[in-house]
Amino acid sequence: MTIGIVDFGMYIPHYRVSRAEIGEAWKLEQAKPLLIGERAVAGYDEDSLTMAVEAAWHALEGHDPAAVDGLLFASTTPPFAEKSSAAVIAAACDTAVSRTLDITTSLRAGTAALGLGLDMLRAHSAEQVLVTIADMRRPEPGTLLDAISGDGAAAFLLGRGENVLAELVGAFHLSDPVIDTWRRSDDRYLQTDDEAFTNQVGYFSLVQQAVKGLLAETAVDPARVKGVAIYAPDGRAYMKMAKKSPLGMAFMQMGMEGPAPYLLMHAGNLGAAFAPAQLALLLEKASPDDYLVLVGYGDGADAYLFRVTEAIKGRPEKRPLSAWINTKSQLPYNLALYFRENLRQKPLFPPDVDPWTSLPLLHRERNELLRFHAQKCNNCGALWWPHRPNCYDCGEQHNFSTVRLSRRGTVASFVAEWAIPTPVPPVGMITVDTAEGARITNPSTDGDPRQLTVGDEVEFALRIFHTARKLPHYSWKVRKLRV
Amino acid sequence: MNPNALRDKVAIIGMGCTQFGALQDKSFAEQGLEAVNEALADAGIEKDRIEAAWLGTFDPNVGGSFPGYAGDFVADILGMPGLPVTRVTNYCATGMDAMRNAAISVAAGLYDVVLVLGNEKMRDVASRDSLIRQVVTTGHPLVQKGLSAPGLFGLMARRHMAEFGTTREDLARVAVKNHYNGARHPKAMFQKEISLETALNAPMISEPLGLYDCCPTSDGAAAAILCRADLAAELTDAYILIEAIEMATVTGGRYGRRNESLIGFEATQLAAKRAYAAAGIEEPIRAIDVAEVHDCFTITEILNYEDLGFVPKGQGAAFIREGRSSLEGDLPVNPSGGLKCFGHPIGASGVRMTYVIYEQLLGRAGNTQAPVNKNGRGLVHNLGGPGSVCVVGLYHRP
Repeated sequence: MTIGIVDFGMYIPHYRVSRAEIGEAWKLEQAKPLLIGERAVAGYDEDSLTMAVEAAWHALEGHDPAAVDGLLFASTTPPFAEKSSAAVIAAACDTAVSRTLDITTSLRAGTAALGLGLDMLRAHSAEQVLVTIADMRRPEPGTLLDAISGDGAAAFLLGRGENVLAELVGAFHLSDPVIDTWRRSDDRYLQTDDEAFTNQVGYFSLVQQAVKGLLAETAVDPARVKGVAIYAPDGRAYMKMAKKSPLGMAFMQMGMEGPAPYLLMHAGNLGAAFAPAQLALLLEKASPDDYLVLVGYGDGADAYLFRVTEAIKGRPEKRPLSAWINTKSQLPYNLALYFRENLRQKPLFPPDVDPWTSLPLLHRERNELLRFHAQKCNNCGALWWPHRPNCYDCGEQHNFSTVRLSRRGTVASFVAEWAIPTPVPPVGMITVDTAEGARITNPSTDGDPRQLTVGDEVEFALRIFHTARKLPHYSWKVRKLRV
Repeated sequence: MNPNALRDKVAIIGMGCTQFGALQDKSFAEQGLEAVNEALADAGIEKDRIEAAWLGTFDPNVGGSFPGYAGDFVADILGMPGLPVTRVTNYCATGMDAMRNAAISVAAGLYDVVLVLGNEKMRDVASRDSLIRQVVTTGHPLVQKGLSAPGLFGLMARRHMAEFGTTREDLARVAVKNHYNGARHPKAMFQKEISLETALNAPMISEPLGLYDCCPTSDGAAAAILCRADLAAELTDAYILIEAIEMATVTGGRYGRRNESLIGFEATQLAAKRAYAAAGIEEPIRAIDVAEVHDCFTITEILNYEDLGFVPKGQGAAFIREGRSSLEGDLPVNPSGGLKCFGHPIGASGVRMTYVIYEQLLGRAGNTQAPVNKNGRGLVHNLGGPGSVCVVGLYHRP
């Protein structure tokens, strides 16, 4: 039975910092050739978990989340050192999975998770596996890595049978204890040492070995490979790799419009999500019978060969991946530093002001707050979110059915709040009429709410509202529809 | 329900009101006692005549820790052991709800003379540290998190603007009028007029509401002595009668309800309808001489014109634009300066509004006196929360 990718999605956060500005801030004169384009920066209310949810919903659009029975989350930067992000993502995607797993600590986590998901399918331990990969790496401010990195995510819905739009042909794995980047459990920032040496014995060597291994394993003619999604530390290393690779033809065909240069220019090196996001970009443009290679790197290398199937033509309609690249706003570098707590500023609130919270309440309302379920009155049809014991409109008690909100709606009214302190004032408070007929008033995120007008299309995005008692409180904020 | 159960059965024989503002030299107890003593002196009775009391205070913790969580506070400041005192809290409609409950007890024949004290102290904190702190530290940890008081009303303003073409300038006119009036009332918090430009150019708070669209946070207290109407003439020379005090509550989840119009307050409409029915009023604009309405934000006053039936829905902006609510207009609204200029110590406001109407009906309003020449009738409108609690009172000269 065919095993492979059923659908895919990507996510790039809304904010961009110009690399030239970062170079100017730190006088990175010698790195100037690399300081072109922009770096995508996750908002102050985002983390790898929320970005994974964004990409996951992008992949899930047009599919039934209830059919997903395995969920993997890969990242070098999970928000929790203890507690599974995958379990939260599974709930936010309204899946019914019982198997969730976080795969972390290696740059190769993304491609490793994909391999594991495919193995789960092969072993018949799952029917559909949602693999979510997100990263917001932790470079030290002022380093080249700081300028080149970018925040973002990719997601793949893996399955079996005729819905598979990219079939797994073969894989090759390598593990190696080579020292490249590392970060000890308590380190705040990534460490690197001799990069020239590392690239030579690590990156170039291991990736070449993996590609050669894959080609031998699958016996595919390299000339037939149409696209390569490959990790690269930066643009220079990518170019060098492209020249030397046995897949040189594919690199040549992709040219500078290839997914790696495209992402590096507009978003950055997405860490564990970098090669997977490239694969999503390749798939979006692929035709049946195209062969695509995916290569992940970090403490070894993973290489996969996929063959695109006829099912690619039946992929559900959804926003193009480029929507995430093209909808954006510029962020001053100082705010990017502040978002990641790399810059001190007068606290927004007095230190004793902590939002009220309640674990029983969060548990009681988990289906509303995370799964985004509304309730529909079986008598009069009114929708309510969050849940209530009675229908206020008709008086009916305890007679509701559950409606999963599509996270889309229109603006009924809104204000731009200047009085409520926020890192990028003003924050909006938006009253949204959801597509299903509920009304929800919640804060805005990503961009200036003053650009909205009554009637505009908006969407809900999972975000951190606050961290009362050091616990990230996730629920749905409102932003202008990114298309 | 018997709409006539209250009508003309209860008199207001004395009232008191402190200066409103940042009362830095006065404690919660001091400002409360000052209002009570003034009301007693006005009525010309001794405190021993008080048989029961109602304390209206929204949240004594807004400005730190104060007494006032319970009724014992009134027994304490009056030194009256045994006094039955009920504390009322019902959002910003607290003051008028205290009035309502006190009036009901007298009309029911339980007591002859009772006291109502509305008291609030909000300025014993840094200026940004009261209601904003509340928004953050209380309420649901996620749903509508960060929705502030100006935000609640700003959402109405935006929608009213979108549907009826109401402008920020219309809102500013409300502030200009209320500052004009307030500057003439000796007890108002702000003793200054403002220009349209000042209002329009002020910093934004909850856009489209700017600073001058918002009432201030204030300290202040107001008190009323109520008695059986048939005893009023024996006890004092000048008094007014309660025609009706009607209340309505609707869902506090208004901003999560699809069937809300976002262009008016149903609670106001329902409470007004009941009060008008009780007083036999068909055309409010002709029947009412003067009104104190809840202008927590300028948009609220414009919505009130419509919801109280002064003008049809959508014409509130024209009512202020045409000057009909000014002191010289055909229905002067907020001759005191309203919450906007007089100040808004939450639990005190409803009682303070009654104080202003009492002054007006007795012809004691000095520079802010409106011509009371229709029926000698005044209206008080007190709105609370996200527009979910409303009390409308009608008073008239005997």
